[in-house]
Amino acid sequence: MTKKILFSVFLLAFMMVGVVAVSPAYAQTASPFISGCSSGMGYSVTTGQPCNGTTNATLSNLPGCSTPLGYSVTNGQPCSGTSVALQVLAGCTSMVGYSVIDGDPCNGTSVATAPVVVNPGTPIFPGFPTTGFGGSAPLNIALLSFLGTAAVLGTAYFVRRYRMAK
Amino acid sequence: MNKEIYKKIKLIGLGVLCLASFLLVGFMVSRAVYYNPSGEAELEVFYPDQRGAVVLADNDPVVREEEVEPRSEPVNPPPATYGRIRIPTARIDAKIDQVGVNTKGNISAPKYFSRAGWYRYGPEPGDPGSAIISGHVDNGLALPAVFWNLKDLKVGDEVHVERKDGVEVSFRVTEIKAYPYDAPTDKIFKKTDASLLQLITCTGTWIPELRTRNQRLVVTAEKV
Repeated sequence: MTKKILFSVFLLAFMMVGVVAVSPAYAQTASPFISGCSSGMGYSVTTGQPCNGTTNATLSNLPGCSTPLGYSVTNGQPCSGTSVALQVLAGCTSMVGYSVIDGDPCNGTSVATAPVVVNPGTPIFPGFPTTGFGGSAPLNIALLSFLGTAAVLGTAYFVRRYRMAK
Repeated sequence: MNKEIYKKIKLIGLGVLCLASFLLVGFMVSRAVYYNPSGEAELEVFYPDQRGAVVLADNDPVVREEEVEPRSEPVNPPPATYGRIRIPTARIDAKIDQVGVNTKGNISAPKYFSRAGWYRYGPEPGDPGSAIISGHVDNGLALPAVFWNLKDLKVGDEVHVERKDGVEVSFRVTEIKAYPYDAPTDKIFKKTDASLLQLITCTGTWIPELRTRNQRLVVTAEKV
């Protein structure tokens, strides 16, 4: 009996570890990294410890990586400096802006992608808006009138019936 | 007994029809007032990597990256009232809301059929460049909306815009032209040092499969 319980506990623990290991980092709400780190690169902004969990911090991008995001094109290893590959840095919800954990740009570079700020006199050219509807106004008015009349007459009927029942 | 059951069924049927009528009336009235089609949600913040993003005057697509201060809230304020537009000859006098870009990469349409929308990523009316104000030509019941009479404008007519800061700027119509609904707008929203106002609404015939009209009426006016 004890063996069975232990086996179940181990199985459960194993499954949980497996689920955590294969979950994409961007789907997690809590950071998988050391406190104050948005990836395995550099040092924690809160404790000053290396973010990769070792005694030596990874300070530059890994071989085959241009950012801490994704996988190395040379060896296929995660570029984050840990065993977890990132699609966006921890503390980010997209490539735009900064990580709420350590303030690093979410796109993994040294310069954050910002929402467009249009300088005066510099036009941008999106498509035309949709500002019209089709259909027949007389038909719509007739339909609205019919439905309105039906609703009012129906209500009147029920009110009358209710009063008579009283 | 059968008569009783029949009576009850009739009563329930009548109740359902009455309720359905009320709901349909409510739906139709809301369509006449408020514009909120599916798939045309406005982007909260206009990011450079989305369609319709920054294209400078030389038509080179540019993904602009800038150093910005860390921030935790959207940069752009939610759509709000901007000012007022008056076009006496077309009997237009309406509030202006702020509009941005929708998920299709087009200028968002104003949410209310009775209001116009100033494109908030462009210049303000009276500033150098093309300020863009759009408005619906008709509402969900095909009844006239704010820019129904825009087609009646003629070259030389005056347009007055009261900006958010209270300043009223006057323009004189210089050009009235219709374009295909999917025309590239870089040549239309001109890059110029002049202070232009461009009023846009739908025109032409309805394309049911695309749920839009096949043309856009663009009225260009120059600051006086």
